[in-house]
Amino acid sequence: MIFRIDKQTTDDLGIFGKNNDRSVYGIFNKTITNGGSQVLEEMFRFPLSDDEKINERGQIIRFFQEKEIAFPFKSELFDPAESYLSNTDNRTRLSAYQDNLERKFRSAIGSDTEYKQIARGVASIVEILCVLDDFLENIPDLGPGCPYLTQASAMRDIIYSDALKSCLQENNPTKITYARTAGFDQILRFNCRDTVKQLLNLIYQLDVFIAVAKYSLERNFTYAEAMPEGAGVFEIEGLYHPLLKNAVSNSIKVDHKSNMIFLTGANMAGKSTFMKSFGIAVYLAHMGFPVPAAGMKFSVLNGMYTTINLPDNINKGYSHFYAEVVRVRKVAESIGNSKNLLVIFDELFRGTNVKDAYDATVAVTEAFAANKNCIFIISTHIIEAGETLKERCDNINFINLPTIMDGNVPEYTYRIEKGITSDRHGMIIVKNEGILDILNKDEEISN
Amino acid sequence: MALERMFLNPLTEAGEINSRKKMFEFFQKEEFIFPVDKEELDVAEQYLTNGEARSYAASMVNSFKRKAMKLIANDNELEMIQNGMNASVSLFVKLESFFKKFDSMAETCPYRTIASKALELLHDKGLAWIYSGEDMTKCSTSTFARYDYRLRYAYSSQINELLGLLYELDLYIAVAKIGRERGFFFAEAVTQDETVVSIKGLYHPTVPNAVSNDLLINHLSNLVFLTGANMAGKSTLMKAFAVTLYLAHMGFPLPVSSMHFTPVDGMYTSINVPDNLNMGYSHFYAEVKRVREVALAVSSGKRLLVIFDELFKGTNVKDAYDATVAVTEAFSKHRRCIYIVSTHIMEAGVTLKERCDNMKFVYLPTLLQGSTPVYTYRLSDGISDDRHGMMIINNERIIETIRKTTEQQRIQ
Repeated sequence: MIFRIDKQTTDDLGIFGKNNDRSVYGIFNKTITNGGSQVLEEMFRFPLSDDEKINERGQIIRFFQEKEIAFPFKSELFDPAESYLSNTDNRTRLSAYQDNLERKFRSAIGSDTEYKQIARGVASIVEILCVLDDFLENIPDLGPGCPYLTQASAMRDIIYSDALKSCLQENNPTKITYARTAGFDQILRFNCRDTVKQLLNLIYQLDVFIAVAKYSLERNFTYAEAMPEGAGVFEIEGLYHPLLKNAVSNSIKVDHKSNMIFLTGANMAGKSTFMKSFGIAVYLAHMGFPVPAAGMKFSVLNGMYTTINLPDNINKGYSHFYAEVVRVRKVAESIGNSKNLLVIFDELFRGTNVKDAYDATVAVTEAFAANKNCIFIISTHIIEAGETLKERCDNINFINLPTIMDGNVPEYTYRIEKGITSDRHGMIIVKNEGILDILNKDEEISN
Repeated sequence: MALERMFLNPLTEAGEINSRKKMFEFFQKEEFIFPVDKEELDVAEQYLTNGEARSYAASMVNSFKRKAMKLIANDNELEMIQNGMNASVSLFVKLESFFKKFDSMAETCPYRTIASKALELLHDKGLAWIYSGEDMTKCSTSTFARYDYRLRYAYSSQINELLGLLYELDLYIAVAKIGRERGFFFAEAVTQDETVVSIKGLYHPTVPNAVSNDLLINHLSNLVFLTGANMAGKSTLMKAFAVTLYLAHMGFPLPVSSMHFTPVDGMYTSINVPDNLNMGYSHFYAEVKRVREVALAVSSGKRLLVIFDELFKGTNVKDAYDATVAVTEAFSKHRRCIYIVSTHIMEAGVTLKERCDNMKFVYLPTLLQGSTPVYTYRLSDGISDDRHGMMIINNERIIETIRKTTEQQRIQ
């Protein structure tokens, strides 16, 4: 089963982005090969929703992180190899019989570019095979119980196969004779092309594992433990936003009795950031990737839908409010299709008057709260809605991000606290700035 | 340039405003066409304002030098000067006949004094040769040099004055043309102690098919409290009001059907207060800072127009309510100033209605067509009681959908 996400969600969380340093994909995209980068993107496009697969991938990455193993290949080997393999035109096949005086002469004057390309491709693959053989020999603790053993064995099976093992005997891949090149060409490009492609794909995956492991080591990320779906476990400790400098970390726990998180706080207090951090950690965890947290344990979900920055759709004649209503309906319908979802709504119904926003927030939150399978995070600055919900529902976890006044200037701790925010700094600021005094004093004089 | 100067320096004195207004009104009625074409004016302008001839003798010497240069090398400087002089002569001839028309007009014609001033400048004895019909290309080098000297040096201050009048004329005709094409009307500035702004048929000049509204603000109700949904047109109305009052202070034709007002000393609008994230201010704090600035201006006793759009939206509802009520009430006590305050916290309006008698409560309504909101953009009296938010949610069966899908899960 696939993990359900949509574009609104990946946009909200900043999973993909034009600027590499500003997207979650971007910060992990440190692979050496282009193929690795593609495999990484594929992993980001399709998070997993199977706890065994998630843990398996996590353990492999963790294995490489613990052993601090480096990627053994030079990146320039792969482009010639790929373009060579993609040329399946029979007429370009090298034949041992063409090793005549004409070819030698053309080679001498440097006009035999076609042969050169093929020879370069062959040499690259032969070198890849040799390096891989050496690499697999030297992986420490690659025995039973090693998470990478399955993939390593698959690679070994390919390179030690009857067809390919002759390649390993080539001592200097840069100086392969014409006759031998022609022989390898037949094997690599025609007899065993799919196997070679499969091997390259395994190497690209290796590239991703090692790149992610290295980045995780640098940033001190942690590996989440996936539990079977519906086990009702969801705990994150020391969660922070991976794209922010000096991000403050928070811990949060969700269970059947508190599957609705109701978040309040001032506009700049960090509500959106907290929700994005949560979403990103859940996203990465479902890829088996390390997460920006100190510890995480979770029951696998079927998908997630976030609504953090909903664009207005003026073209369709929708007001912002109507766009929000349409989005809420879409999420509600998705809940009917899959059981365990993460649903995030930031500042629900901000596009309408206060009374309606209050009524709508209470009604929608209460209706969602009847669902005990999904995890909900709803934020609002309509504190009063929280008070009403507190009386009506028993599975809501009320948390807030506080504001502290430093003189007149509000400051934010970005640390989650229990309960509904009681900050009433707005009027304090108005009073401190002396606005009413300015206006009223003058009135006394004129009277 | 002249237009920009007018925009940067709106007038504050009713008499000045009304006489400027009369001028525009006159031009709007008369449909004059600017008497010279742009290219000719450019050439003449460049020539006339490039006074190199410091003395008659120097001008003479330069003329001979140029003539000699023309003979031995194909020098185009002489040609440029000749072109410039020809254009200037042609310009003056056209202006003379244009300004002459005003002589025969009634005494009340507001442009008459300016026209006769222009004629006085044009009819100076030293410029009489211009109207003689002499061909400048055929006159002797010494005559040419003399004329060149007069135009560019001896008469430069008179000619600059004349050009100034010409630019003003251009502006009057251009603005009047827009006013005529768009069907604009003029406002009457009045002098009295009690502030008043009364507009009928106000609309936003740059919004296509804009709906028009009437608005009266005076010392008895010097604060307009405006409510309505987000897309209902609150900001557009406030902008239209501010733009119109601004243009009225320039004596310009206006997007109204009628208007009279006491000139104000200034206006403060907060329609899009930007977040100042770099300085670590929240939106709310930026708003408070702005309100403080306006409070200082208001308490200085000036007569001001103040517009606050969606005051205190950057904070929680309780605080926004408290702050809106307190600040609006305190401001409105300054009866010399006039205010428009918009908010989506209708409850603040209800409270203010009980506490203050000098406020006018208006709103822009929302109607529902099915579940799509439709806006009339027509002001109605009172506080908006639109509760379409919940109606849309009910129409779209949102709560039922959530309940149904939750139930589906339970059955699975």
